[in-house]
Amino acid sequence: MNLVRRLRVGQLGSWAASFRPYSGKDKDKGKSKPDPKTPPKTPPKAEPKKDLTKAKDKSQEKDKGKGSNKGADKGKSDSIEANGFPKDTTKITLIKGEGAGPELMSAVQEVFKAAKAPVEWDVHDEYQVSPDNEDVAPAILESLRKNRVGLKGPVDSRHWQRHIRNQFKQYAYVSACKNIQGLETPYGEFDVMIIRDQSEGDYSGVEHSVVPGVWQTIKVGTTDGARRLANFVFLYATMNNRKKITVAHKANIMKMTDGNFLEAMQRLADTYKKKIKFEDRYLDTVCLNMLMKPDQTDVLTSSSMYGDVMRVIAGSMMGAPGICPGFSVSALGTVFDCRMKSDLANPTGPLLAAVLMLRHIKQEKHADRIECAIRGVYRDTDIRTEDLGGTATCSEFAEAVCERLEGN
Amino acid sequence: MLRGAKVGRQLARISGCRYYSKSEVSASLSSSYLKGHVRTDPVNVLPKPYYGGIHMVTLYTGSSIIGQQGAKFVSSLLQSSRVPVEVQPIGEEDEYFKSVLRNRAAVHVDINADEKSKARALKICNDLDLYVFKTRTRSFPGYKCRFPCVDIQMIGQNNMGNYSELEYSPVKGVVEALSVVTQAGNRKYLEHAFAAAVDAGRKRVTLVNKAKEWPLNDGAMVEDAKEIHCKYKDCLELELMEVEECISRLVTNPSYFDCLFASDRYATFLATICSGVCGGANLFSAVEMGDNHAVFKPLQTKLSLTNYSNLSAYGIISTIVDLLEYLGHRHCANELWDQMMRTMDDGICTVEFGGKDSDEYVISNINNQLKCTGLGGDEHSEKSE
Repeated sequence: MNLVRRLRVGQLGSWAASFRPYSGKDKDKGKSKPDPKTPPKTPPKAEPKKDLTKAKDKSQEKDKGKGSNKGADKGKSDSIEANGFPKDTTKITLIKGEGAGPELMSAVQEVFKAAKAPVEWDVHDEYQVSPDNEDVAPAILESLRKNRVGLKGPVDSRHWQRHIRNQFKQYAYVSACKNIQGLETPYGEFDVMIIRDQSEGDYSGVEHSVVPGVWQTIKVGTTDGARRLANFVFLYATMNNRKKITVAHKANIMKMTDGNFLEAMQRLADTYKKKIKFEDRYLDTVCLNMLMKPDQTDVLTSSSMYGDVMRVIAGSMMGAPGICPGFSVSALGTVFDCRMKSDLANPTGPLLAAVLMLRHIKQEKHADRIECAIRGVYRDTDIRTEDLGGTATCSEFAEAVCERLEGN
Repeated sequence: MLRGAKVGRQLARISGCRYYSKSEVSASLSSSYLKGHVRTDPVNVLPKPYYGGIHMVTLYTGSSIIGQQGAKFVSSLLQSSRVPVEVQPIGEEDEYFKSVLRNRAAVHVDINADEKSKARALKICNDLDLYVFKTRTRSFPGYKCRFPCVDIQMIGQNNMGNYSELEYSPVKGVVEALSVVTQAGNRKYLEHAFAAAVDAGRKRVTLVNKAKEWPLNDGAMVEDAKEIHCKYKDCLELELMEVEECISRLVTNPSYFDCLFASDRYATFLATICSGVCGGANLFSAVEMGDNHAVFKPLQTKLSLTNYSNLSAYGIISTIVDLLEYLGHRHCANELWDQMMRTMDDGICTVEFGGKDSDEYVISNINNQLKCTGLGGDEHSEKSE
């Protein structure tokens, strides 16, 4: 019990630190919500003067559908600056990752060049300090802190992922899974968004051996963490015009931990009652519904392990493991990635993640163009990479996407 | 339960079994649960209830009407098949525990997934040490099957880890759940699982783990599995796979899997995904097994499902087939299974699979057929169309 208490206090300390930026974000969100359509007068700057501006930027609509059109981007992008990039270029950290990572990331860069997207890449080849030390390279951390948006290639090391998560206090991971027309799966059409908790729950990372032969894992949950996630879920879902939020839990078995998570969600559900429907279901039911009736699933949210399971299911329903894009949310910045293994050479995942990123920095038109090109390749041609049963290589696929972009 | 209290206690001391004094057993389930009694002594094993050639089996119906209807199906099937199995129907909580202890085999047919029912089911698992959870999901053509030729035997750990329900709140605002795993428990489960896989005639076994996230827990299980596998090297192939990869393969290419082993944490949702990929959880049955006791239930009941409005006939029939196999009436089990396949072939299916018949019709059809032929009887009887 003593050991547990010490571990707990340590974790509480880190959470307390994370609450300050969170509360700042909350206040900003509260402010910007009543006037979501006001485009910022200044073009979205890469290096923000204050936390306030960027938080406002981020909290504004990341609209996935046609919806609102941010006026800020296209109009001002024609004037070229001295460094060769258009005026409102955003600087994005690009982490190459390992394995097939560099190849995939260069595919992304190529496609962006063809689309003439106003993005300047801050490329990082070395993702860890050294081959023995699996910590995140400090250069990456600094650049992410500066740019606040990052695109990450596949990295297998769990320690590395946890390190980044802790450094940036990333508390939620959003996966946007939409089926790709042209990629036939037995699951049909669906459009699911999965938001899962990242900082607590089963993946707290606390395990130890009590006596030889007995091991103990501790699954931690806090009310504040649950509330933070619940706030984000409802905000994000309403901003993207979603209809229904479903919480997956196992509160009939784990009454206190999942009950605590559920309570936080239910409390918010009342305030958002008019805008969005809310329901809570057992994890087994949710998984089964996702597999049997995928078109009836909308937004799913859950704690870390259950959410991970759901994300993998939804991602695989798209056609292949590892093409489902997503991003990690924190008050200090957003990192886009698609959780794939480092030996898959399928650029669809990173490309879709890059599209999400463009929407995040409010380059809607470019995002739409690139997405149309990707979906067009799947719909009209049969160029597929090896893991989907085709014979194309990563660069061939990227070329096909570029061709479509240039044609447009 | 035993003769005199004093004699009983003396016997218990001699034989080393746990003695269930009257107060312990008759205390209601809810109070024991509140006191947090988790079984620590070996389970008291009573002799098999096999008298006069007839097995006794507990049938737990729960309090819902649907559960009771399901129970009626079970008894009617057993009667018309003329299998020497007698059913003891139980509706009340406290009786259930005593009855399962006595009969050593139970059928649990229910549709409630709320806290109370789960608590009850978990208590039985913990007290009787039902440490293995088995289910076999296969795809039936025409029954919402998305992938043909799938046949996955899932053998999962049942009562270790998360489901010991050790939850508490150390500080205000923080909740913790402890998941305790012992090596002895792991080994017991693994040995049983390997033996069962060989029994079922499986060739390749996939152990699902997440050793990257929990290197101590899952790492230890992986080591133990490798060790125990050495004995079975010539008939089984062991494969280790991460949870995420397993799930994505299940969803995209389930015919790859032959037999799945999983620890407590992943067993339930893996079973859900397997069944979802094969057409739905109401087609299959699950069994929770210990060394001497077994509880059979349709997979619907084992998982916490709220999306089915009634118990499906197929799940119930599968459950009975499993029960008959466990009790040793293998021939009868095969016959009953053939009957179920016959109804599927004949095109009699329930509404959710595209047919127009009700569950009751399916069961009645099988009942009629059984009454005409009788299990273990003539195999070339005429079919009543």
